[in-house]
Order: sequence, then C-alpha cells, then structure tokens
Amino acid sequence: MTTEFKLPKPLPSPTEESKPFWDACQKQEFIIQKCSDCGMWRFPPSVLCPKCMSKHYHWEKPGGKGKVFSWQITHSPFYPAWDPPYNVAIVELDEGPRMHTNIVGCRNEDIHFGMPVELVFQKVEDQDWYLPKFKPAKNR
Amino acid sequence: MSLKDLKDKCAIVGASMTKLAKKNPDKSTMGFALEACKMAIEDAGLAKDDVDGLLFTHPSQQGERHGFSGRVADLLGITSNFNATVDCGGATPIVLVQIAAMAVNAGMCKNVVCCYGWQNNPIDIPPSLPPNFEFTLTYGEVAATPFLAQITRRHMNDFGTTSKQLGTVAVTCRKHACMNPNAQSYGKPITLEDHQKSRWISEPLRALDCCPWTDGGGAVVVTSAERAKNLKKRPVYISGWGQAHGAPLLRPWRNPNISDWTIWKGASDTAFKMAGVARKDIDVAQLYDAFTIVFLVQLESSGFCKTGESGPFVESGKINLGAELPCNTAGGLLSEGHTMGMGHIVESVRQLRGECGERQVKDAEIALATGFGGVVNEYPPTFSCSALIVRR
Repeated sequence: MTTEFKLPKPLPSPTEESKPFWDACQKQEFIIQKCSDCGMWRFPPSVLCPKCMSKHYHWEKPGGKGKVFSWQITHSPFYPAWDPPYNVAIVELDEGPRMHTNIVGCRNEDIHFGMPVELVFQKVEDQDWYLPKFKPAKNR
Repeated sequence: MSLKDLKDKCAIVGASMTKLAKKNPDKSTMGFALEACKMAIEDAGLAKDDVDGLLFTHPSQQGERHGFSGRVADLLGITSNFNATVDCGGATPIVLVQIAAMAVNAGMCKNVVCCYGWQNNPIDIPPSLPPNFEFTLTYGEVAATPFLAQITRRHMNDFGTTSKQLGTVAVTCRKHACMNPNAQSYGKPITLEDHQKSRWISEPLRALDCCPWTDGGGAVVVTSAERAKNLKKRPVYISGWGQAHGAPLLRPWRNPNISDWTIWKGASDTAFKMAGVARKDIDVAQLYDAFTIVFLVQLESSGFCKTGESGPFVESGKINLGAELPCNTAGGLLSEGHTMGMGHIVESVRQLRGECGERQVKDAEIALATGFGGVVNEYPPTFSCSALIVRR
C-alpha cells in the first residue's frame, strides 16, 4: 500500500544537547552520554544526570547491542512520509537506555519481544543523513 | 495543614458541555470556550460578575496560545483575580479543578470557571508540526496513537491482554454513548465484531481503539462549600484529588527491564486517602479513555483491579451500566468525544445530581474521574495522571 501523497522524510533538528549524538551518527559512530560521577548511561542527551543530578558527563560508545522492548506497526501514518505498513520499535540497549528506532533486515511479522538486535546505520532515502537503526543480531 | 483538611471544602456548582462533533464548523477554540463558560455560569445560577477566577486548558494550535485564559476572561467580560492556562495534556481538566479548589481555599478568589475549548483544524489550515521531534518522528512515529500502541503491545506481552478485551472497552463506551444524545457517536452502536474488523491505525491499535477528533468545549464552576449551598443546583462536593507523573517505558533505571505499570498509582491513592473512601464506595467512574488501552491502565492504576488484570475485569461486564462499577456513562472520550477529559468531570457532576436520564446510575453518591495525558513526541515521552473524587 502506498499513501496518495508523501511528505519529505523529516530530519532531526538537533538541540545543543543532542548535536554531538547526531554529528557522530553522520560519521556512522554511535555515542551516548554517560554520567562521569555515578556511571549511568542515559538517553536522551541532557545537561544533567536524572539519577544523581551531576553535570559531569562524557560521550561513550555503547556496544551497539540490545533487545526489542516494544514495537508498533504503523498502517495509517499521521505524517505520511513513509510507505505503510512499517515498524517503529523501542530498543533497550545492553547498557540500559531505551530508544525509538526501526528494525531493519527482517519482516515486520518476525519482530518479537526480547529479540536480540544490533546497531546498523542507514542513510535516509534522498537525504544526506544517517540514522542509527537495529537489525536482528547474529550469534547471541 | 494536610490535604484531608480540604476535603469537601469546595464544590462544583455549574457544569456545561457544548455540542460535540468531528468538525464543528461554526466556532473557533475561543468560541467554544466562551460558550462553555456562559453555559456553566448559567447552570450554577451565578452572574458573570460573580466569577473572579478563570482557568483554561492549553488551547489547540491556532493563533497566540500564550495567556489564553486572560483573553477568555476579557471576552467573557469578567474581572479576574486568578488566571492560568495549564498544560498536563489529558490530565489538565481535573488539574484545573484541583488548582481552583486550592485557590478558593486560600482565599484568592470566590468562584472559578475551569474551562476547555478545542477546534482541531480551523479553516483547513494543515496542522503544523513542532520542529523538533528528533527521536520519534525521525523514525516515523508521531502523535499519541503509535506510542500508545507501543504501550498496548507491552501490556499484551506482560499480562496477556487481548485485542478483544480492548474492544470490550470500546463497545461498552459506545453503548453508554447511545444513551447520551449529546455524544458524538449517539445513535451509532458498535459490536465487538465491528471493533475486530476495524482497520489498524498503529497495530495493535485499531481505529475503534482510538477516540475521534472532536471540536467542542466544556466547563465547570468551582466555589466554596459555603457559597454552594445557596446556588441553583445541588452542590457536588470535591472530596479528594491527586496527581502522578512519569515517563513509562523509557526510564529503565527506575525499574530495570520491566515496564513500570504502577507509575500512575499515586494519583488515585492520594485522592482516595484525602476523601477517606474506599474503592468499593465509588458508585460511578469516568476513567480517561483517549484509547482503549488507557482505560485499562487507568482501571489498574485507580486500584479497581490488580496490575495486569484489567482485561478480564472488563470482559466480566463489571464496567457496564447497572453492574458493579459503571464506567464512562456518557460514552467517554471514545464515544462521547475527545474533550480532553472535561466530559468526565461534567458527567460525574450530572450523575451525582441525578440529571442523566436513561443512563443515570441509581442513587449515585460518590464518583471518581481520572485524567491522563502527556507528551509522546518529545523525548522522553512523559505522562501525567490526575484523579478527582466528588460526592453529593
């Protein structure tokens, strides 16, 4: 099924806090914030740690592995820029944080709870922009 | 002073709901707001000059959103001591009543109108998206339905909840709406089969799991219990209230590896404690239901069943009129229309006044209304829950 009209795929408008994350993505590097005091990994990027309120943090590369926490299949998009049906998942990284993403490299019907996934960068169609996505993991 | 000291110190004395429709072509958000305020003030038997406080929910996206309550007050022609435009998503109308009761108790004002008004798509202007849904829209997820679908999927996984159980909520609300001539879905009954055949919006949510778009307005008037005694209608006393806020699903450091379904429990726990009543004392409940899954989660967080047991609870028929816990008797957001939950307060008032005709819960004395809403597009998606217990 194809929607009658399509809007261009929206790209992120990074904030001061999220810019390092998106800049790294364009180099196909996956970095997230880690609290330099309590050591907690966090997402979304923020100026302070919601666990200990420390303002000290650094950017670090997580392992890029995780599992599917939940997902939905969009059949009727509110913002028609993609061909439905497509999936949007919430993936829990091994380091703890959960984030929205798309599961690629498998059919929508094959996505399941706790499914092991690993990071893969994908270029946005017709746009000069890379997004972190996840595909079924091998050997887990 | 504790919350308990405020129990029954204020009352709702006026309530209104305008005509509700998917596209109500004759009024703007401001138009609905003013009409709803006028109707509620008249329902209370007050003159407009008696009103000295005005609270408004956040308006839909048209024109200047800032300071909306001030313009409502001015266009009503009232001189207000106390104004605010408040945003807790679908929790807001109940939060307005809570704030109004606190302001009246504090002596800041006497009679406060709490108002809601909404027009979805004025003059066919396409809805504009705020610029920065960087962690959701980027992947194709925007608006409430898909995020609630994520929550639904998780509830199904954690507890075995089924699409048919969700459908039972939709069918029950519709059945009740068919006894409410002002409901958007009045005269349009549905069956569970209709629900199961309705198209996927964001799987596992179907079209009939989602409330409709609604243009309309509603309002209630809050005053002191003392003043309430001398007004036109039987006072509905504000016995208990509470709030809870949090980011479900996306805050694993609070509750590692599981979905935190108890995050909103504090709202009703606080309200029941303040009111000094038990769950079994509730004669009629209006639980927030922008989506069928929200109703189920509210049933659990309000303490009417254990976490995870809302599916079997609704299947047993307990939420029907005439049953143990009649719920969403006006049809709820799902079938009366999406009034951000103002409809739940108005219906609670009308039930306790005995104004509900065919859908009246016999001798209803104590009612609960809940609100639920938040931001799902910005990270982290957060939700607010509000609860209100009223008695006659």
